[in-house]
Amino acid sequence: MSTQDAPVPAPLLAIEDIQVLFPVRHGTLRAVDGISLELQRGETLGLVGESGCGKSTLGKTIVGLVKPTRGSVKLNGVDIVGASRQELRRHRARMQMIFQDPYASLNPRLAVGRIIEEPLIVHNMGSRAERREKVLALAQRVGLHPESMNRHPHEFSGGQRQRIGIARALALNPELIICDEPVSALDVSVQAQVINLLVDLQREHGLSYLFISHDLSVVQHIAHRVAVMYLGKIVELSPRARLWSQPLHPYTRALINAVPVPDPEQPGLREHPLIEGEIPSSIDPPSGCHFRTRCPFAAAECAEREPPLRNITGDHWVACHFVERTADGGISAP
Amino acid sequence: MSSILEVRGLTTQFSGPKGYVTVVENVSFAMKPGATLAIVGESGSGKSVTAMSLLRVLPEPPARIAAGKVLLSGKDLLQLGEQAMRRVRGRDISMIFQEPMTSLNPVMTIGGQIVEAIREHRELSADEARAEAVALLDRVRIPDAGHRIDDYPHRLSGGMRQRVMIAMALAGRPKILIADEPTTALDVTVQAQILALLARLQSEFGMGILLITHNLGVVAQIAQRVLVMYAGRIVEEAPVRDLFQDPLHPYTEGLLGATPRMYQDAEAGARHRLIDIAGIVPQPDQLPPGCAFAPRCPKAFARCREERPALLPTRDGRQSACFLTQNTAASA
Amino acid sequence: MSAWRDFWLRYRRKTSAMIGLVLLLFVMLVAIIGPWLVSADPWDIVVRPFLWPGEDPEFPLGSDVLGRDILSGIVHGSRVSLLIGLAATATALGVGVTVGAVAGYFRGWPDDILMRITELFQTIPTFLLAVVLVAIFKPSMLSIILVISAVSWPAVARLVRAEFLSLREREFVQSCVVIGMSETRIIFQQILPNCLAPIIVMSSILVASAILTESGLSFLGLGDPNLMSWGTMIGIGREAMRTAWYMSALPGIAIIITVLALNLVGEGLNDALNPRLKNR
Repeated sequence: MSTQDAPVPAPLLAIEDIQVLFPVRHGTLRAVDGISLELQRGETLGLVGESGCGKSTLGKTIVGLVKPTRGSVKLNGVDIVGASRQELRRHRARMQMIFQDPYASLNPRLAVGRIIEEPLIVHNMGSRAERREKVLALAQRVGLHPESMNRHPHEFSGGQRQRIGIARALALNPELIICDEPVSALDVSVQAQVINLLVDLQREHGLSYLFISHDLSVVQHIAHRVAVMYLGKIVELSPRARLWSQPLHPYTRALINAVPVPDPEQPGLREHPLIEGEIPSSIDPPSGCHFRTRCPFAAAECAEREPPLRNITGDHWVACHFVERTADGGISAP
Repeated sequence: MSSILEVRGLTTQFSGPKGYVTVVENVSFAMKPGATLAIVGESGSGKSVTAMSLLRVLPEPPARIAAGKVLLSGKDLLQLGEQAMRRVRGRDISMIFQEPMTSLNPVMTIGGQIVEAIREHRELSADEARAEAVALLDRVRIPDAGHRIDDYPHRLSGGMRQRVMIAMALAGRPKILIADEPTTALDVTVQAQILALLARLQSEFGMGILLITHNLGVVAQIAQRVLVMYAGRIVEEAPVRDLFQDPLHPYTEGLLGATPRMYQDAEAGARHRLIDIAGIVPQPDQLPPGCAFAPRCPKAFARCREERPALLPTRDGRQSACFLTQNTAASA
Repeated sequence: MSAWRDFWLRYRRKTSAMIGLVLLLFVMLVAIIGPWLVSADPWDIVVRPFLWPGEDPEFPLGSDVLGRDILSGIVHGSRVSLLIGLAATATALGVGVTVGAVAGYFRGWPDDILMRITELFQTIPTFLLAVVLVAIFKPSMLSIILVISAVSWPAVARLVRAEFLSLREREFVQSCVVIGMSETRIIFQQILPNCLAPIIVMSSILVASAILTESGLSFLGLGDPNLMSWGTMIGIGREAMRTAWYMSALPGIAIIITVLALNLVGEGLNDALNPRLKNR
C-alpha cells in the first residue's frame, strides 16, 4: 500500500465466514453457516429472521458466548476468536450486549445499583465513590430513579428492567452493543420508549448496534442496513430504504408481505401470495438454496447449487440464482 | 343486522390480599354474525380476562364475575348452570389460545382429540367422527390429513398445532370463535398463513370472530370493528378504518404512534421518532381516581385527574371515553 | 432486611415448622449450656447400676449398667451429636457444592468425570460404606466426621449440579460473561446465591441423617471410644434391653426429638424459601 493513499477506516466489526455447528443426536445443527458481515462506527445493522434462523447464535458468537466452529470476529482489526483470556477481557469492555428477556438477564438477588456497577468492579474502574457516581449518572441517563438503586429487579416493570440492562451495558463505554431482541418482550408503548432511548444513546455516544430481531418493522425503524437471515445464512443485505422499495430475494419479499401493516388502507394479507410451510429444521437443511422448499420460483438449479451472496448494486447483496443485472442497468428478480 | 352476542356492563374481579380487585370494568359491546371484532390492548388491559369471562372459563375463585350480562341470542350466559354452559362452549362459542402446545394433550393423538371434540357435540359413530376429523384437518389446510391425524402434538410445528386447535374449535360448528392472541407465538410468515386461514374459515362457516390481540397490524388486517382497552376499561370503539385514520382517544393515538411502520420509515429519508407514552400501565389495584390514562396522557387536564370519563358515542357510530373528544363532538 | 422479615413471616405461618424450631433450639441450648449443669464426665461411675428413672431425684433419668448418670450422658451426647452433625454437613457441603458447581457450570469432561465419581459413591449403600470406612481408619471424632461427609456429599453435588445446569443458561449469567467477569466470581458470587434455598433445606436434612449415621456407628461400637454419644449409650443399654429398656429408650428418644426437629425445620424452610423462587 502506498503512503499517499488516504487511510481507509477499518470497520469497527468485521466477521468473516463464521460457522457455528452444534452436534445433536441425529446429526449436526448448522446454526450459523458461513456468514461474513461488516459494521461501521455509528451504524446500526439490523439482523432479521424467523425463529431458528441462527440470528441469536450469531450475536452470541460475536460477543464470545458461543465459540464458532470456523471463522473470525475482528474488532478494530483484531481477531478475538483466538484471543487469550486476558485480551478477551479487554475487548469485552468495548463490546457489550443487551438481552431479550429483562426478567432473566438480571441477577434476582442483587440490588439494581450493584447490577449496574458490576462491570466497573470487574474492570477495576474508579474508586468506590467514583463508581457510585457513575452508576447514578447512568441510571439517570437511561431514565431510572437514582433513589431506586437499592431495590431488586423484581420490583421493576419490564421496560424499567430493560433500562437497567442498557445502563449496565453502557457502564464500560463500549463502542459496539449487540442488541438481542431487546424489545420483543415489551408492550408497544414501552417498546417505543426503549427504541427511542437506544436511538438517542447512539447519537450521543456514537455507538454502533447490531440489532437482532424477528420483527421486521422494528428493524426497519432502527437500522441503517438490514441483513435478512434464513436457516443460518444471509439471503439479502441492503440499506434499509432499498430493502423496502426493492427487495430482491423471494424470502425477503415474503417476509415483507407477511408483516401485518397497521394500516387498513394498505393492501392486506389476502391480496398477497403467501409462502407455504414453515422453516425446515437446521439439522438437515435442504440442499442448494435453503429456501427452495418454500420458494415459489424454485427450479432444478436451486437444489443443486447453493447461491452465493453476491453484490448486485451499490450496497445491495443477495443470494439468489435468479437475480440479475439487466443490460439497461436495471435489476431483474424472480 | 342484529347482533349474535351482546355484552352489557361486564365486570370481573379477582380476589387479592386486600379484597376484590376489579380487572375488567363495565365492558359492553355487541358482535355481528360473520364479522370480526378485535379487542386490542397492552398487557394488563383486561382484554384476555374479558374473553375468558364470556365463556366463563376463569378459575372461580379467585375470579368472579361481579356484574353484567352476556347475551347469546337473548339468553344470558352468566345465568346458566355449569351443565348448560358446557353445551354453549364449543357449540355456540369456541376459543383458541396463544400457546397451542399447552392447550393440546401431549399423550393423545391429534385425531383422538378432534374426535373427542366432535362427539362432545354431535351423535356420530367412531368412523363417522374420524372421517369428520380428517375433513376438518383438510379444511384447516393440514397437508396429508389422513396420515397426520394419527400424529402426536409434539410431532407438529407451531403453526400446524395452531391449525389443529382451530380444527378442534370448529368441531362443534360454533357461531362465534374467540381467538386469544392466536398468532403471537408464531413466526410472521406462519402468522400470515393462520390469519388468512381464519379469514377464509370465517367466510366458509359464517362465524363471528372475537380477536384478542396486542398487535395493531393484525387488527388492521382482519378486523372490521375495534375495541381499545386500557386498564380494564374500553376507552374507544370504532370501525377499523376510522380508528387508524382518526383515533379519538389519546391512548389510541399514542399506541398508533408507538408502533413502528415499515413503509413510512423506509420512504422517509430520516428516521421519524416513535411516540413514546411515558410511564407504564397501572396495576388494577392502583388505578388513579379519574381517567386511568390521565397520568400518562399528554393532553390531560385537571378534570381528567378527578373525574372518570364515561364511554360515550361521539360520531359515526363511534365511542370514546375522553372528555376532549366528547367536547368536540358536542360542539361540532 | 425486609427479605428476612418476609421469610420469617412465611416460616411462622406453619405450626409444625415452629414446633420443629422450638425443639431444635431446646436441643441446642442443652448442648451448649447443659454440660455445666450435670456431672462433668459422663463416663464417671456415680451411683449404683440399674437405677430406674425417678428412683433417685439426684439422678432423674437413672443410671446405666455400670452406674453412670444417664442424664449426663444424654446432655453430653447432645453436644457430640450436634457437633458431628454440623461438622459433617459443613464438610459435605464444601465438597458437594464445589463438585456440583464445577460440574454444572463447566459441563463437558469435568462434568463427566465428577459425576462418575459421584455415582460411584452413590451406588454403595451409605451406611455400609460408612461402616467399612470407619473400620479402615481408627474410629475418632475426626474420622467419623470425615466418613459421614464422605457418604453425604454426593447428594449435595447432584442437587447443586442440577441447579447450576439450569441457572447457567439464564441470561444474567451470560451477561456476566459479556462484561468480562471471571468464572470463579460468576460461580460463587452470581450463581451460588441463587441456589442457596434448596441447599439450606437440604442441609437441615443432612444434619439429621448425619446424627443418625453417627448413632448407628456408635451403636455398633465404631464410635469414638472417648466420646459419650447417644449411639454409644444405646449400644451399652442393648445388653440390658429386657431388664432395663429405659437405658436404650432414653437416648433413643433424644435422637428422635432431634432428628424430628431438624426434619420439621427443613420442611418449614422449604415452604418458606420456595415461594420466592416461584414468583420470582
